[in-house]
Amino acid sequence: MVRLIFALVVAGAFLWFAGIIAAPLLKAGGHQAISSFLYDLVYSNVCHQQPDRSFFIAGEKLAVCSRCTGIYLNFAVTLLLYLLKPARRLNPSTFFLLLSPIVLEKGLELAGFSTNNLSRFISGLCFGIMLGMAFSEGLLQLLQRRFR
Amino acid sequence: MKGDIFKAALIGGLFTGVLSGLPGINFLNCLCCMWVILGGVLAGYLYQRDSTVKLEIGDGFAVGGLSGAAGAVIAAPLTIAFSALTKAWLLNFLSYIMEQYGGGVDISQLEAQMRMTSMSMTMIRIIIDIVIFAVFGAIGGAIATLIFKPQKPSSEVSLEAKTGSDSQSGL
Repeated sequence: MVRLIFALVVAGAFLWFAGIIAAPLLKAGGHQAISSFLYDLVYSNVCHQQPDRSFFIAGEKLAVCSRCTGIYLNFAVTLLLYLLKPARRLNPSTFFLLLSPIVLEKGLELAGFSTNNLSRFISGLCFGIMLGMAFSEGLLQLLQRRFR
Repeated sequence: MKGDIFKAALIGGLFTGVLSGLPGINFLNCLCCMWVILGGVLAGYLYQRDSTVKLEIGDGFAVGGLSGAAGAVIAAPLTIAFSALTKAWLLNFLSYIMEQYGGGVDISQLEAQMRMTSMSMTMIRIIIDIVIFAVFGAIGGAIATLIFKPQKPSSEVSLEAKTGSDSQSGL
């Protein structure tokens, strides 16, 4: 039961990431209503969606910026890895290690150094792993207690 | 002994809701739901502070998730109020433009259409927010259990209880 619920959550995470890719493809394909729903109603809540900080597909920007793309990609992948092999891996040192790239990059940005979409994507990937680990371990423990 | 999960979740939710509902300040939510994660961390911290045992990651996940959902509910009326203000301003502006330059748009019809569209959109948005906020809040709560430790170790508390009961028995 725990694995089934967790598998549904993993599917949800991949669906969320698929939406990020689907929005520009739908817009390019002329499906304005559904792409607008994704851009303006779903993903605008979680991202600034600035075009200069976003990747483009089919001439349209993704539904979230490059950093958020990295975050949600690795969030979903980390959840999948936990589904395949659940274990306790997150500890304070791992947490700070995975948090440091995004903090460092943001610090460099504030100090006036220029960053690009690739560096933002990479720091997002690291942050996404951390978020995925915290989410997976918390949810798995909660589910295991509930269905013991 | 664990603290009051609902009290911690409500305070964390209040933090999340107010900061996510205020225009301008809520822009920080664009940085990976910053206020929501911080609200979850706050709820996790408060829950840990009021507990005499070290909380597990599942406890933090639960209190953080509750605080995120509460935050979305608290943020909703604020968002509706501020969007109503913006809408009123937009309609006034459009009326002014129509008066100045003319045009075939009926403002009252536009207003009715905007009201209907924005109401349904707001409802959908609130539902989406509850799910998103609960997820990010839960992550914040789980992170809090990694960072924070109970202020009173359980051994100290049990010692206090023991000495308390000894002195009482002596009376």
